[in-house]
Formats: sequence, structure tokens, C-alpha cells
Amino acid sequence: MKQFFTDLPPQAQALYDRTVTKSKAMALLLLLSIATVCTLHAQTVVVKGKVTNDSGEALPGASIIVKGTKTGVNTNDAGNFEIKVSPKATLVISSVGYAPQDVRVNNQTQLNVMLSLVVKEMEQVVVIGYGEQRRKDVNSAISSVRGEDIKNIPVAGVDQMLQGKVAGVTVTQNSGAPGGGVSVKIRGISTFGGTEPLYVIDGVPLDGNDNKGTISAAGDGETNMSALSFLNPNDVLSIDILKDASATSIYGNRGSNGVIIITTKKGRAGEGKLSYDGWIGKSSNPNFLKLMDLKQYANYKNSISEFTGTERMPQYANLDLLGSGTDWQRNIFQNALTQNHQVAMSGGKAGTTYYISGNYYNQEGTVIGSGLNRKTVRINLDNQVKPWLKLGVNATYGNTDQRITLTNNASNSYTNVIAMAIQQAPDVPIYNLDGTFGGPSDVTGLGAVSGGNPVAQARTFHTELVRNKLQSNIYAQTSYKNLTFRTDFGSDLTWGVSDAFTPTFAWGRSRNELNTYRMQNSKNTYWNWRNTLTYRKTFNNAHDLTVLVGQESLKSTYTNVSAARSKFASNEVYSLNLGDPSTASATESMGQSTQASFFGRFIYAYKNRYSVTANIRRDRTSKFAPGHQSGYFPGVSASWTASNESFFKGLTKTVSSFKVRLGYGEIGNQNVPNYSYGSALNSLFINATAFGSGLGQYVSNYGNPDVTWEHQRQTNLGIDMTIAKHFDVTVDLYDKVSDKFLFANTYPAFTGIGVPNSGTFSLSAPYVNFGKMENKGVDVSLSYNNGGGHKLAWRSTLVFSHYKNIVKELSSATSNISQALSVNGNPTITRTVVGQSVGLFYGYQVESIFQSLAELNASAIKSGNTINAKTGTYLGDIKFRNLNKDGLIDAADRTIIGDPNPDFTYGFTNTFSYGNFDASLFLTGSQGNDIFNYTRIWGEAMTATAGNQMASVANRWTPENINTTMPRYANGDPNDNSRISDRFIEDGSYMRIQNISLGYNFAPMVAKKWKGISRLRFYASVQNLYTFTHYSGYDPEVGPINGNVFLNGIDLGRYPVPRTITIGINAEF
Amino acid sequence: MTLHFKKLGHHLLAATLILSATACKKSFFDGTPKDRYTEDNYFRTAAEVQTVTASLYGSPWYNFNCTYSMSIGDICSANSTGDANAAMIQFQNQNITTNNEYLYNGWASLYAVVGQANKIIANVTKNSSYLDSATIKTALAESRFMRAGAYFYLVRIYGAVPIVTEKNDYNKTYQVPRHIVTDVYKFIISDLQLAENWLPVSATPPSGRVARGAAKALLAKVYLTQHDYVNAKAKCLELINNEATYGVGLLPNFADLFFTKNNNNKESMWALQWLASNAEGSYATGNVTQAYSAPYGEGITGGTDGFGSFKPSFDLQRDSIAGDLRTKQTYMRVGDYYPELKQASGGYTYTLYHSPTGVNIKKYVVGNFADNASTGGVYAFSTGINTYMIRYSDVLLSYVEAVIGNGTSTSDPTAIAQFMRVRTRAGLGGIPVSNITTRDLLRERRLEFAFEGQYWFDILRRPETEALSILSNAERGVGSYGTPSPPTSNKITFTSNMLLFPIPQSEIDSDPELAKAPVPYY
Repeated sequence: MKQFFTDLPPQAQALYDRTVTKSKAMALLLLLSIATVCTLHAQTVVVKGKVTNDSGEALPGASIIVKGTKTGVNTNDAGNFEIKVSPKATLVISSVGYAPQDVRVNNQTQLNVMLSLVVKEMEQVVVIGYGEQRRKDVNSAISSVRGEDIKNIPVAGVDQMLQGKVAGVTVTQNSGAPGGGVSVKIRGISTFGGTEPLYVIDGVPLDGNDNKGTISAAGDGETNMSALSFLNPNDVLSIDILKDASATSIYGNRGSNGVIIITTKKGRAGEGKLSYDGWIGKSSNPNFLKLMDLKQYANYKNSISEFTGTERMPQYANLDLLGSGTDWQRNIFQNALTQNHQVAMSGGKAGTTYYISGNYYNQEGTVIGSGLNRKTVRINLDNQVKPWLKLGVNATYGNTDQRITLTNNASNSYTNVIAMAIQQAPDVPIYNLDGTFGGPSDVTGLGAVSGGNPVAQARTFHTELVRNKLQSNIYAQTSYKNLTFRTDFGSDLTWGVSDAFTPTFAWGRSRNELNTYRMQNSKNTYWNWRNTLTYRKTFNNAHDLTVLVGQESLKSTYTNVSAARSKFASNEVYSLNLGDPSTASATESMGQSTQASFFGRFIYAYKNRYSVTANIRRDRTSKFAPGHQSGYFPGVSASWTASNESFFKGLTKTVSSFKVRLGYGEIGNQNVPNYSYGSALNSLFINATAFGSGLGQYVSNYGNPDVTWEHQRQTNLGIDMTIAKHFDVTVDLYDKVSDKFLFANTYPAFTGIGVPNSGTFSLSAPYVNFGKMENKGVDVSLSYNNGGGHKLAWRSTLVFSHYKNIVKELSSATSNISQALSVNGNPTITRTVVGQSVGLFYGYQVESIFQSLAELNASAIKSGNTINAKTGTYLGDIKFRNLNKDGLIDAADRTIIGDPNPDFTYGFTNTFSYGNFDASLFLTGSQGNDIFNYTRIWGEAMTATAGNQMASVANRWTPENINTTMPRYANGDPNDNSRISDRFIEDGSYMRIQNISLGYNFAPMVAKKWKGISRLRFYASVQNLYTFTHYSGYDPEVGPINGNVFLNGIDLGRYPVPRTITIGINAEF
Repeated sequence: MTLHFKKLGHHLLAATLILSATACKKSFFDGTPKDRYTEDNYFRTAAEVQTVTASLYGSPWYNFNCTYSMSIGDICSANSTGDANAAMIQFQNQNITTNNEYLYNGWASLYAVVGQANKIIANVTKNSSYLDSATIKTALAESRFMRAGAYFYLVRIYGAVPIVTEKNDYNKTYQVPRHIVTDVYKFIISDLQLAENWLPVSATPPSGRVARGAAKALLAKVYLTQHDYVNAKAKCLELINNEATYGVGLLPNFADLFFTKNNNNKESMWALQWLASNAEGSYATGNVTQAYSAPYGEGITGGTDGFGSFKPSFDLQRDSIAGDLRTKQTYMRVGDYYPELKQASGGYTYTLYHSPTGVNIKKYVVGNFADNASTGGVYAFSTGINTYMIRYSDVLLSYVEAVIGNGTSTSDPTAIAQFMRVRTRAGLGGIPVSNITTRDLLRERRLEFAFEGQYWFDILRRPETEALSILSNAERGVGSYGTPSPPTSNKITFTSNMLLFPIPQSEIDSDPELAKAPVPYY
């Protein structure tokens, strides 16, 4: 055992030594006490018991002391103890890092005690990148989340689980689809490019922006997938979030969006443990949009028929005869089942520790046809081969299988099941009388003009993404005196198969006679080799010095092969083999990027009072043209623990610890596609009979040879303190100044450079370096624990984040960045100007509705319009505000109409335990952000002549109904009432009861029967129980569209986040 | 122990050094893609250059061809009504906003052509030392022809537009002003004159590439639009007198023009080249027209498309001539039978009024996959039939227009002869013509080129008062589905400001210079 600890840092080793000495002394004391007790009190009982932590793990070395005496024992390696005491005695049970508990013997002979971890943050070890550090020595803004705190949450990815847990970290679930996209932003928006952080899983980096995986059949909208859906959350030991630049600068060019370091579990020396964790959950869609039913729809159609110039539908002549029709929305959602099972074994002896786990996760989506299935295994081994050599491996294999229902399409296209369900008319049946799928009828005018049957599509179209991922890190470590050399080889191999099958069908008039199967095989390989040499020494018991030098190189390659065939004889079995070979096609793409780096770090601490950290990194990358490839990224930080000064002694009763931190760092961002510095050509299929060859080429991007790093400087000032022993407070203030943003700028289309995803065939935009932005913010974390000695253990943590970003500079070539949305004519929807926040909503202001001709004649109307009921502006149209008073409503009347940035976000975690009961309540929310509810443009624009609309249009303006804010119906919307205006902007503030749970540990009850059992906890929880909000869409949790910072807070009818009720079990033997 | 450590340490250190050395090699940091060509390593041989010029003929024009061309050319001119969505309804109601989806897509498409042409011009010029002069000349001529073609649409649709060329460096600035209309035309003519000199005299069939005749024909139309009748007439005559030299002529049978198998026939002087495909990576390779033209719900396309969004207007139907063979090939009337459609079920007969104007479009509707199996099939939103940009019959009628010039009619025998060639093929040769008025010519063009995106520009070449009167008097109303019914009359009064379309708002937002008065280019 001693040998095993030889690689520990000296601090830990000292702790170990003290513990050992202490236990020896304790044993002596014990013998003495037993002798004493025996002689004085004849009436004693033998109490046996086991001490575990709140996750059921045995606690060896915990002390059991009879209250009011010095008498006591320690638990053995398995956490068991035995003590002879008076039956009325009270035992004080304690262990380092845990809240002590008083337990009355009360004639019991079997006592199982569970100790709760005290978050004594100062004692914790924090992973800081290429090393670790005691929390009390940390000088930067680093937040930590224990694996315990995110266990048992019924979502697929670790990224989702961080929501509301850490100050300064904003997590939005962009899609409620199983495994769907999650946006994680650390400290606001500090770039115009990709904002996702870098993840480092056991030393292997994973770029959070690299989260695409499906082929284009999944649509051109929200196609991001969760970057972490392959990782089993149960395997996570701890998550350390490096928030400020003094900490992330050790990751140099990839650190500018923050770094999230995930460490997986390891075995501990001692008796082997076997645990099972399982839960089963039922999910449902918590919220539906209010759409018209058949009666309302028929009434609507009747009333607009004169405007469209068509006759009234005879079917709609008598509204009383109509039922409610098809509720498409409720038919594409379902109650869905999710289950999760995990078995883990861990332990270790003779210098070897192991942790082995297997996980099975299966989630049905709340939209029919979607789901996620994940299987993972993990083996973490550490081996003290020789006293001077340690070897280890962390390896995980994960298989994820996502079945995707096309929903999050940015366009309101009819391949988007949710958009289709909103717009398909209630007069279209789901099923025909013979049980086959129905569709728009042969009777002209029924159903939306071109929509099909969203239920049928969700059930029969097939889109699937299967990913196999093998991620591993192997290390060897050797020490000589105070020097430690460690070499790590990390690799990440991903094989993905994405396929899509479109069947033949005939749903009423919506028909397809040609089925098509496409598939894409992708192979990504990644390796990195890191070598670090660490020197660590304590001089004179006062000066702690750690010096690290290191080198790292990495290479990432990908190959994608896609192929397609059409004309399959059957819709049931599809493989490329079975399609008509004359329709066959195949393409391949591949690429690689490389990087090599050197880095060094110096940490010096004096008597637990002063600490200084300085580091520097040099990166060279293949992402930029020669001459622009290298960059240096320094960071420096210092802290002063005032509470350890002698003058502070008088204050320690109220403020038991007080520390001030100050840090500064410079970091970069290189998040661009390969070869952005040059112009490449893409292949294009052309007609061989016309050109002699079937393959053409076109220049596909506009290269920028000067493209280089994005740059960021960040200053952080932090305070950590503990007040009245129960309150831990951490406050961080930061000031981030980023410039030379690396992003694909928006160009006017006349340059031949197109808007991404607009479907316009053109050059893609050059990546540029321009702009400057400042983010100032504050992260506050306030936690309370009621300390030891109470039956009720109570811990609450409130995290609060606020940021404000101000654009300081744009390029000389432009005074603003106008971002258009790639739907419905590419309307400009946000604008970014100097002096304001990034991506503000931009459009017209609604003043009122025209109520009289006198008012119309006296008012500014749309430029080019006449006052005309059919083709111009008329009564019932929206009167837009004429901001420049020029007598016309035109583009010059647009202004900033909303801000998607919240005033603040918060999370409030509460855990309680009382005896064997435990409970938790978790709230999360956002305040003061605006949402542009684009689903209402589809649902309330009244521009289409066919298809359903929202129920709210029943309250539209008519000469009989003038007290309304809903404009009139006018065919083709000649006044452009549905233009981008504040009409569709809503307050996106919300507070959500994210999770509530209740558990009970039966282990003490059944321990007699089942000897080995140390924990048997049953629990029930509800995820996403209720959302307090005024927002009228599906869900106020709206992130950026495909990670685009200029398109934040725009709701295009995303896959809503479900409500999930789970019951589960945690067992340990 | 120390010894072991040293040994191991040496090994690790050595390995580290090797790795570092490898990592420092220049090739380790080479970011050049392996699956794509780059501007630095391509454009070096004739074959390479030709693969790039080939891409100018189709995909960049995709959104121009998809609803935009017909929305302007046929809906605004009242050849068609349209109701696919709010964007199309705005064309129908002549109330087109600066956020109109089609207006943006079409603008972007035409400028995508300009952008690709500019890239080719720049690269071919840069690599001229690698290339033979024939390759250089042909590539530059094709690129300039396409660029001129795109600008010709732009200037007629939007008026003053920014002239961007291969010389613009968007890494420096993209704040470009609009240029005055006369300079845009001057630019177009200079591009076309170069194309006329450098393009091959005639195309070797079935090449989809343009040849000298196309440049002459397009030049003739540019001159006509500028009312330069002398030059227009001369260009047309060069072609009419040398049909064999330039490899052009009329197809004997009008119906043959709209079969995929007859792509790039001798009448096809400039056509957008399409390839039916739904393969991964095949976006924008096919002709999308039948998706919006074929009657809805008839299963003609075999896919989910075929929306019948464009519906031939009553106004067009009233202009038809009894016995005109073109009518059935232009739109479907009740009782019309098409053996080429739905061949598997013995052909297709249009039986019901599937449109509130009683008829649906036939032109460019080619049927389903099986109907087109021999020419590469048909997929949803993707057929292989080419889009005619200039047919030889257009040259013949342009000649007549040039001969009439500023007059109101002509009885010039050469003009009448050319006019009769077009009419005879339409089956109307029996009707004698001794004098052609401007109205006769306009009507003839309407019937010949309906749903080819032409009629709007034909009307606009008339004096403005006449054009406004034609447009204001056109019947744009519709009747009912299912039964023959007269239209609920709908006429829109045109004013001169309605003859140009607004530049998309998002363009002006990115480049505020566009909102200012146009400036001279030269």
C-alpha cells in the first residue's frame, strides 16, 4: 500500500504518513480505552457496523469515538468496525473530508453509517491540465463538478448535465432529440466563430465545435450533435472547468472558449467493489403549440376564400358537422421510454488498481421515430510495475446509434416533421379506412399545397447515425528524486456510419415512386503524444516549487466515403447492393490537421499564503499558411490566502478562510476548416453527354492567405471565502478582450460569396480576422452546508452568472455585421454594431393596427404600396413605426428590437439527506433574454393559402373585430405584416424545475440478510418538471442556430426538451 | 534502480527527440488538401481548365432557373399565375418586397455565375504560361460570355447594379457601389465581343458548350434591348446567312425541342446544362422546373414534387391561335394526351381542370424516372432537360424586331421569310402574312417562348407607355378548380417604377453603398 502511494505528490504523501502514524497511535489508544472501559462499565454491548460515503463506498480509516471520551476505533479497509460501548452511548463518526455524525447506540448492535462529503474545497485536488493542484493553491478561476453531482440525471450527455451547475457556464440544449445538439458557452460570447469549449477526457482533447456527424439528408438546419453523447456519465469522476485565460493558456491555441477537463474513475486499493446503477424513465412532451382544429380551420378557410379568389369548400359549408380533425402535433409526439443500466467493478491490490464498467443506455425520442442507443465499456488500469515505474491505461469503447427524425430543419421545408405537423391541415387523415397512411385528398384544395403526412414520414423515413468510438490514453511515468517524467499517448478513433432511406409511398396525393438510399462511412483518427517533465520540491517546509516542461504533438485525419443508389425493389431491406446500379454514385472526402507544441509552467507557493503560477505555450499548426503558423500564449496568476496570515487569526471565527486571486492570460483560437488560407475546388456532377466527362470542378471557397489566430486577453480577479463555517463563497470578476476574430464573415451575395445553408450555389466565405469585443462578467457561487453533527445533512449551491459583451471594433470594410436567416428570403434578423452586444435582433417596430382610412391617409405606409385592400396596405394591416419620419416605411426604419443575451443565468442545487432518506431539488433559469419566435412567422403570417395556422389567427383583425393585435388576412401579405419585427419578439426569461428527486437507502435494513451489500438505494426523480415562463413557443431554452453567435435566441421550432419521470436503483456490494 | 531508470529515461528521451524532429518537419504542417484540387495546383492543363468552365453551364444558374426566371419572365408578364408560396404570390400581386425569397435567390444565383467566371478568368490569366493559347482563349471567352449573360439579366431586372470583376479583392473590401446602366451595358458588350472573337466557330454536337453563334445571338439581343437596331440586325444576319458555318438552325418539329434526348440540338445555341441526380453531392445539378410546373397530384413526376404552382393565365390562353402546334407542347388542356408521360400506364391524358385557369404547364415537364430512363432518369426536383437561354428561333424573331426598329410594322420580305419559318413550324404556315406589326411580333414571341422566362423582357423592349398599357390590361385573375369557369377579373395598374425590381435588403445591409446613387464604371 505504501508503495502504491509513492507517486503521490509530497503533500498527499505527508497526509498518508500522518494518517498511518495516527492510526497506529489510535490503535494503542484503543487498547488502553478498551481496558479502561471494561473495568469501569460492566454493561456494554458490542456494536458492529460499516461506514460508507453518500455514494455507498466503504470508508476505511474512519474514526468512531464515544462522545465525551477519547475512546474509539477505526474502520478497516472494508469500512467495517466493531466497538464495545454502553448501549446508551453516542458515537461520533468522522473521516477526513466528511461531515462528522453523531449516532446514538440506543441498544442497537448493528450500525451502518453514511457520511456526507463536506465540500471542503480547499482540500480538493483540481486538475489543471498536464497536472493537478490542490484547490487551496489554485490561482485561476477553475470550477469543479463531482461525478456524484451529475449521476442519475436522465439525459444522454455529460455536457447537458452541466447545466446550471457551474457559475459562468451556460448550457443550452439546442434540441431535445436524443443525443441532439448542446451548446456550452463559458463566460459569454467572446468570438464570432465557434464558441464551444475544448474538452479534455483523460488527457485526450476533443473539440466541442466538432459536433457534426450526419449526412446532408438530415437537413441543413440544426444538425449539431452532442459532442459528448458517446461518454458514459457514470464513469465520470470529476469535471474541472478552466474558465479564465491564466488557466486555459496552457492549452494555447485551443483554450479561448475555456477548457473542460473530464477525469474518469479509477480503482482504489482495497476490497473489490461491484456496483449496479439503473433507472428507467418515461418522457413526454411538456408543451404544445395552440393550433387550429378542423372547425376553426374550416372557418378560417371560408373567411379567406373571397380574398384568395377561390370558392368556398363545400365540405366546410356546415361547421357544425365537422369534428376536431387531425391533431398532427399530438400525433408526432409520443410518451417515450428511456432506460440506463450500468455495472462497474473496481478495486486494487499489490500496486494494481482497476475500474471496469459497462453501460447500456436506450432512449426513445418524444418525437416518433427518433431515439438513441448507447453501449459503452471502459477499462481504467493503473499499475506500479516497479517502484520507479508506473504504467496505466484509460480506454473506453462506445457505440452510439441515433435514429433521427428530421425535425430541426432551419427551413420550414416539408421534410421537417415538426414544421409539417404545425402546417399540415387538420382535414388530412393520418390513416385511411384500410389502415394505410393517409394524405392530402384528391379533392383539390384539401390539405396543405405540398405537405405530406408527417406521421407517416416519421415512421417510414429512416435516418440513422451509428458511431463507434475507441478513445484511449496510455501512459508511463517514472520518478527520480523530485523529478517525474511522464509520457502519454492518447488516441481517438471514430468510425461512423450515417445512412438515410427515403421509401416509395403514396399518402393521398403526396407520392414518391423512387426510393433512395444514401450512406456515408466516416473514419476519424486522432493521436497525440505528450511528454512532460515535472520537478516538485518543498524547501524548508515553506517554499513549494513545481516546474513543468512539456512537448506535445498531434495529428487528426478524417476520411468520408458516401454512396447512394435509387430504385429499390423493396422498401423493407436496403443496402447499396439492392439499388439499381445505373443510379449508383460515390464520393470521398478526406483531410488532416496537425499541431506541435512546447509548453512550460512554474508554480511557487510560500507557506500556504502566497502562490504564483506562470506558464507559456508555443503552438504551431497546419491550419494556417506557412509564416502564420506559430503563436505564443502566456499566462500568469497569483493568489494570497489572507486567512493564513497571523493578523487574520481574530477574524477566523466569522471568516474561516479568505483568498484573493488575480490572473492574466493570452490565448488563441484556430477553429477554422483546413486550408482556409487557400482556395480549393469542389467536384461537381455534370452531364457527360454534353461535356465528354461527368465531373466538373468549381472554386468552392474564397481563400484568405493571411488568416491567422484569433487572440484573446483575459484578466480574472477572484475571491474565495468561507463565512461562519457554513457558507462558501466564490466570486470571480473577469474582463475578456478578444480581437482578430476568426470567422467566416457574411458577404453580400454579389461578391459571388453566398450565405451558408441558403441553398445558393456560390463560393463559401473567407475566414477573416477582424473585430474586437469585450466581455465583462461576474460568476458567483454561493454554497451552504449545515455542517456535521446534524441528522439532516443539507447542502445548497447557488450559481449566478452575468456577462455583458460589447463589440469594440469591426473591420474598416464594414460598419456592421448583418446576419440573415437562411429561410423565407434570407431576411436580415440580427445586427452587430460597434458599441453594442453581438447579434441583436434587428427589424421594424409595430406601432398599432390601422383602424380607419383617415389614419391610413395620414400615416406612413410601406414604400411602394398604395392604399388598397387587395394589393396594398389597408385597414387591419400593421402600422409600423416610421422612425426616420420620411413618410415611408422602408429599410431605414429598422432598429434594434431585442437582445438575446440574458441579464443573468442561475442554477440552484439543493441536496438533503436525513438518515437513509435523501432528496434533491434543482432549479435553473435565465432572466432578461429575448427570443425571436420564428415559429409564429409560420403559424401567424397567414401568407399561405393552404395549410394550418395557429389558433391565435382566429383573433385576426376584421371590421367586426378591431380590438386585436393580430393583423388582417391578406393574400400574399402585401403590407408585409410578417416581416421581421418586434411583433415576434418575446421575453425568454424562465425558471425551470430541472430536477427533483427522492431516494431511500435500504442497505441497513437488508444488510443482515445480504451480507455483502453496502448500499441499496431506490429513488424517483422528475427531470424538466415545470418551466415558469411567459414564452409562447415550445421551450424558452433556445440556443444559437448551429453554433452561430449571430443567430442566437431564434426559435425555428426545435425538438422540444422532454419531461422525464424516472425511477432508479443504486446498489453496491 | 537508478540504472534502469537511466536506461528507460534514455529511451524515452530519444523517442521524444525523434518525435519532436518529425513534428518539426515542414511537411508535417502542410495543410494542402488531398481530396480536392486547389487554385495553386490546378488550371495547369487544357483538360483541367475545361472541367472548370463546364461548371459554368449549370449549377451557378440553379436558383435563377428555379422559380426566379419564370416568376419574373412569365408571372409578371401575365403568361402565368403563381401561388407556390408568399414569395411567388408577391410576383402575382406585383407587390415584391426587398425580402422576397426568390428575388434574393435569383440575384445571388446570377452573381454566383459572375463570381465563378471571375475566378476562372483570374486563374487562367495567372497560369497562362502553362496553357496553350487556344485553351486560354476559349476559357476566357466562355467565362466572359457567361458573365455577360448574367449581367444582361441583372441590368434588365434591377437596373444599375455593381460591376464586379476578377480584379475585386474581397479580403480588402466588399463595399462596392452600383454602376450606371449604360456602363453595365458597355461592360456586357465588351465581354461579348471578346467571346465572339475567341469562341470556337461552331460547337461539335452534342457539346453543351457555347460557340461563336451564341455570342452573336446574345449580342443581337443586347443591341435590341438598347434599341441599336443596326447592330442587332447585322448580328442576326451574320447567323441567318451562315447557318451551316455556325452549326445552327431550326429543328423541324417544335415538340422535339422539349425532350431530354434532344438536348443540345442545332437550335439550342445556349442552354443551361442539367443532370438528373439525387446522389450525395449532387445538389443543384438538375433542372427543377417540372417540380413547380407539372400539375399537382397527378403523379407525373413520380416524386413528391409537381406542385402546379405556375398556372398558364387566361391572358395567355386568349392570345393563342387555332391550329398552333405549340399550344399542346406549352400547356395541357382537358383531353390532351401525352404518350411520353407515365409511359408505364400507357401515357397521360389531362382529364380535369387541375388549375383555376383550366390548364397546366407542359413545357419542360418530362415525366418520371422510367419515362426518362434512357437519358439518366428523373429525381424529385431534378430532371435532365436543358433550359434554353437562346434558341435559334429567337434569332429569327430578333431579326424581324430589328428590321421593324422604331417603326410599327414591316413588310420586308427577308423579315417575313424568317417570321414564316417560325410560324410554319408551328403549323401556321397556311395563314398568309404580308405585314408584321409590333403587336404581331410580340404575340408570336409570347407563343413561341411562353414559360421560357422571356415575355417580360419582350414587353419591356417596347416603348414604356406601350409596355405599361400591355401589362396593365393583362388578365391576371383565376377561376375555379375542377370545372370550366371564367376568371374573377384581376388587373394590376403598372407604373414605370414597377418595371425594375428592388435589390434585396440583406445586400444593402451588408453593403450600404448599394443604397446610394449609381456611379460610372468607366
